[in-house]
Amino acid sequence: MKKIVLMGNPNVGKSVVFSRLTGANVIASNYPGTTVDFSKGKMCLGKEGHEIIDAPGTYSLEPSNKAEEVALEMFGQADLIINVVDATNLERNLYLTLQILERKKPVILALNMWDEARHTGISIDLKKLEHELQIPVVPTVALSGEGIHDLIGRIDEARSAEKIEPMNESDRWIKIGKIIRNVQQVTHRHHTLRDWISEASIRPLTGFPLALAVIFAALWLVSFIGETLISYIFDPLFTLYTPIAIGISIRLGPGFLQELLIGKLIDGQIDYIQSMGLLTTGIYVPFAMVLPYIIAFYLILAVFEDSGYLPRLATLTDTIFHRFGMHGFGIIPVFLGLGCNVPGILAARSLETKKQRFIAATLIAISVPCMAKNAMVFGILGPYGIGYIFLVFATLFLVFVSSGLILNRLMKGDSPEICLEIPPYRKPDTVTVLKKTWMRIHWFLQEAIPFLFLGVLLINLLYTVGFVEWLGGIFAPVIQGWFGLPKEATTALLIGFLRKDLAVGMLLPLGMSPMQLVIATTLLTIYFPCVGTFAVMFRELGIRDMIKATAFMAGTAFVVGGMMRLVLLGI
Amino acid sequence: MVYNIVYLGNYKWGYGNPADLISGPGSRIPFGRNPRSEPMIFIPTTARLLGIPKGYTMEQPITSLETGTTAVILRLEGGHWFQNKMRVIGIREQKIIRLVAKHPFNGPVVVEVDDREITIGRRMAEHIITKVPE
Repeated sequence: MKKIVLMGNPNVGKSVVFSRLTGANVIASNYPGTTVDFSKGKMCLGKEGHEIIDAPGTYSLEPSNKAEEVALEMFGQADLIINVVDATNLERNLYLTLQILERKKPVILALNMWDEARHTGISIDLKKLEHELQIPVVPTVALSGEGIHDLIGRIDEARSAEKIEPMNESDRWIKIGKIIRNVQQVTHRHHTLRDWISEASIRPLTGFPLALAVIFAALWLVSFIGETLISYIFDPLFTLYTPIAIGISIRLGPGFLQELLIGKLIDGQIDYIQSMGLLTTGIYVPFAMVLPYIIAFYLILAVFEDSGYLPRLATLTDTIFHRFGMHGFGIIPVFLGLGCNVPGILAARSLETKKQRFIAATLIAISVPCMAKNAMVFGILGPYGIGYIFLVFATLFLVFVSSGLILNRLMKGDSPEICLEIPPYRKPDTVTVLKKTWMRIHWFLQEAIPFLFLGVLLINLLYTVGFVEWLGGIFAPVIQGWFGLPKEATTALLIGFLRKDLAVGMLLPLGMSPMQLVIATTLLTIYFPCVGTFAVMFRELGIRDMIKATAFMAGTAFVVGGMMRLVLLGI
Repeated sequence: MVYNIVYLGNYKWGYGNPADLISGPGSRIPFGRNPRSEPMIFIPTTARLLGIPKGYTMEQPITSLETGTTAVILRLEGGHWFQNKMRVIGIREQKIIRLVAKHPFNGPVVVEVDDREITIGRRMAEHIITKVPE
């Protein structure tokens, strides 16, 4: 079985080609650095099966960040390379092509975005290019699937270029210059409306007001879509489900099974948030509280990603993010982290240094509320009014800013400057957006539900064993004495490690005042990440930095909780 | 557009060598001299006072161009790593470059090369030396 690796510059459409070749779904977007890890898939050529690997994009074979290191590693393992090239930017892309050819691996060139090149008045002589590079060249439009058939058909023709010898950097550029003069013709293009919008959204004077408007519109849309889904789809569904659950409850009769599956009845009724049964809270929390917002968020995120707006936002936030020891690209992991912290922390791989990655991961885990955390905040404080919710988010924002400033001072290491290609604006394709949203929802359901069930199970077990009482006693000085919360809140913090959203049902029955609830929810979001985030941080940062990050989080939670108590409770 | 330019370096008024203040024909702007990325000041009037003829253009870093100006990249000043990083992303000698935006507080600079916009940090951009064609 041959290993076929897709290589190319960032944002040329490798992941789209990969999806087309293998039928496997991977996330593809319109910004450099979408793919930070490799994905594997299978493809059949005749009778033979081949392994296809989608590598992160890289500008050259000298890596400058972790994602590019992965690309280089994949290159080493490859038996055959499909070099995906952006036809609208052939000259620059050829640098990597030549480097690959110099290493004498069999290569086939996919000249992607062929349609866009034609529209912008670039014509490339394919025959001449094949002759110059001595490898097959196939024009493709991966998004629509055009040319993919030819690409598959000609993979057998892939060969190494015998006449291209290893050369130094300047010789390579001279060779590229010759090739380009020979094969490419560009007709002059006038500035279009798209260029005008592009520039307006990246210049400081117009860009900042636009960014604010866009972000507010996005937030409003997320909450609007989420609420609509709840009131027209998910709540009615649960109204239908309630009689079934009650039926099960009656059939089971009082006992351990009823406790476990249905949970405590409140005033003889099932309370989906507080009952804590597998078939009540265990289903209600993921489906009716979190899922609607997950759908809404990922739908909007997909539109954002595919339009190409995110790199522009990165440019605008660059100056501020430098104060936090990162650069503008840091906004992209933060943005992804708003859905779920795990992909957010993974996206930090595109940052160049360890310091930047550490700060990005820690800040996301500590103060970027994922959808589960948001659901918890809204679920607990929603009944008391928007003001309390605002308090939580304002605190999180302050924690983000001050932690960023502090970590920038504390951490040793470099914070290099931004160097980011801005892709042209593209119209998001409806099918692609829906497919991407579905992939992420699927992923959420797969990850979240087992942990929710485990959480509910654990809560029931811990109560039965009496562990909750015991733990509450131990942490009472901190929880009661320092944060001003009832000691039973300890369990909620403990269970928060599994799923933050489950803590809603545990905090509500404690009869806390709204201000106490504000403190409890804020602490729940910052004190410690959930188990999934914890695992990915461990993998990305290593044990030592993970311990550092954890210590920082615990310290922050301690300080912030104490301060909030002083300010909000006034004691 | 044609500029008369006097370079004041990163030194405050009254400091530094006066020779550093003026860049003569073909003379090199002292780059490494700006460790804290303080803004560089260009004063046309001073140029006239010092007798630099009007209509004289010189090489200057992309950061001192006015937004919207098109120029030619003459050279990249800095280590091999920096030069390579710039070239592979498209910023190369002899390329026509346009300054799209300059962000305040020493923020990043957006340039356009080959119909593609690229955001680069201010300090990196200061090492891209350009010349505005007359």
